[in-house]
Amino acid sequence: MDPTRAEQLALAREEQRLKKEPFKTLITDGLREDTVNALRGWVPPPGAYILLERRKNFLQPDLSVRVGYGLQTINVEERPEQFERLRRQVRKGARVIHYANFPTLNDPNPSRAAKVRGHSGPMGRSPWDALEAEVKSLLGTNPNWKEEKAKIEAERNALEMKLQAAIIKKGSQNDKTDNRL
Amino acid sequence: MAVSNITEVSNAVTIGNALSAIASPALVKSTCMMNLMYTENLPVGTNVKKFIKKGSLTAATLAESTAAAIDANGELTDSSITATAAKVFVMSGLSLEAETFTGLSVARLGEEAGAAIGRAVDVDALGMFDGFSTVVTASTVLTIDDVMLGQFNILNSNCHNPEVQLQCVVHPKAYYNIKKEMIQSGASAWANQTFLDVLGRNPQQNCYAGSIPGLADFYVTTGQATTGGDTIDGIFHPMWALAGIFASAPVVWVQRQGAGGFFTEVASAYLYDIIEWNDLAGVELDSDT
Repeated sequence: MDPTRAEQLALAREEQRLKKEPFKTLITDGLREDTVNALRGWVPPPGAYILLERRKNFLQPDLSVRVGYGLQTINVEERPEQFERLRRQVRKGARVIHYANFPTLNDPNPSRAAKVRGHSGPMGRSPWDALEAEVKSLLGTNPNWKEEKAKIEAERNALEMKLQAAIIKKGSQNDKTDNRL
Repeated sequence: MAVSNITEVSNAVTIGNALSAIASPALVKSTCMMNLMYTENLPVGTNVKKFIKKGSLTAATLAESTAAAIDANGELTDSSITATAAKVFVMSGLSLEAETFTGLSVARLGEEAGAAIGRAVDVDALGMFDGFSTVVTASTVLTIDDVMLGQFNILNSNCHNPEVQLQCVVHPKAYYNIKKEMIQSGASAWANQTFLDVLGRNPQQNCYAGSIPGLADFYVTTGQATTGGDTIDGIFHPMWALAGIFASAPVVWVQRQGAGGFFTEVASAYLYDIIEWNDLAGVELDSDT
């Protein structure tokens, strides 16, 4: 069956979307192809959120299942006390790849700052700070270690080349000195 | 050329503003999700409630004159999902002047705060759809076949109470495409009035938009999460997919504040939590945003 006009437009939109750069997440190492594609043209929610990459079973029209990966967003703008939900998703195999927009006590938006005060209790402990600590621990101390390793190796290689060049230069200068002698 | 000394409207003492007989409602989303899941009251003395998931045993055949032993097949293990109640809140202040000279009142603020809390809870529940492990991705726009695939997976997962109609919560765009498919399809089912409830009905205030017999009840709302190019809707079993603990009503505290600037503080809070009880009792439906 030929695609309808609406389907044609939708397919063209999808084609355009897949050409876009993926949304830059805090973790870029080891993102699955499905996830990277889902991140192309992805618009983050307006408030505080945590983004996870998780395994999903994509049911096909012939009733077969393709195992792939996709995004899961946990919205924590209104209710930060969602540790259990986050941990449960991680136990199920999801991986935290990004978080953003957590409100703070000195948030430039006064209503968000008031929201933090409202959730912080008499001791003034922001539950978003506690959640951020949890998220950071799940992200790992250095989530993009491969990227870091490549950067350090490139720096080392550049320094080695510089050193080699300096040695060669010094050697040629010595030769010249020898000639004079 | 302007004529001088004419008695005009500005010469008279008039009322500054007149108000219409009715006010238009705020154009914000309606709520539906709380009625589409299993709910219990908040626990007493703790904010944590465990929703139990029954384990099962496995039977095995045994040859004649063979000893049987207790093994893993006979070990019964229940599991649970933890719900932890936490609050959402709305904090408002109404000045003495506003209370005295306008139609705004503490009661109205309380009412609006309740509606705002309802929407926050609803968006939270809609956010559970991308937690389901099984996904049906429409090739472009959502079709009835995609919804049927979702139903297939729920039935194939041996979800209990299959006699209960599934609930399908969709974005208006998906609803439009379902309706359009009904209009454009030449299939005989869509010539039968019984099957045309979704087509012939307008959504109600609780988002109910009609039913397709043998498939699902449809609800139309906004506030769903998105992936790059898709909106995330869901089809799920109303008894076994999602569950929640909810306070019976929001708490509203009204405090007069003098030194603070002569206003009335209206603080509304609501304690609840929503959990995914059975992953396989729901399916994420991704369709064109």
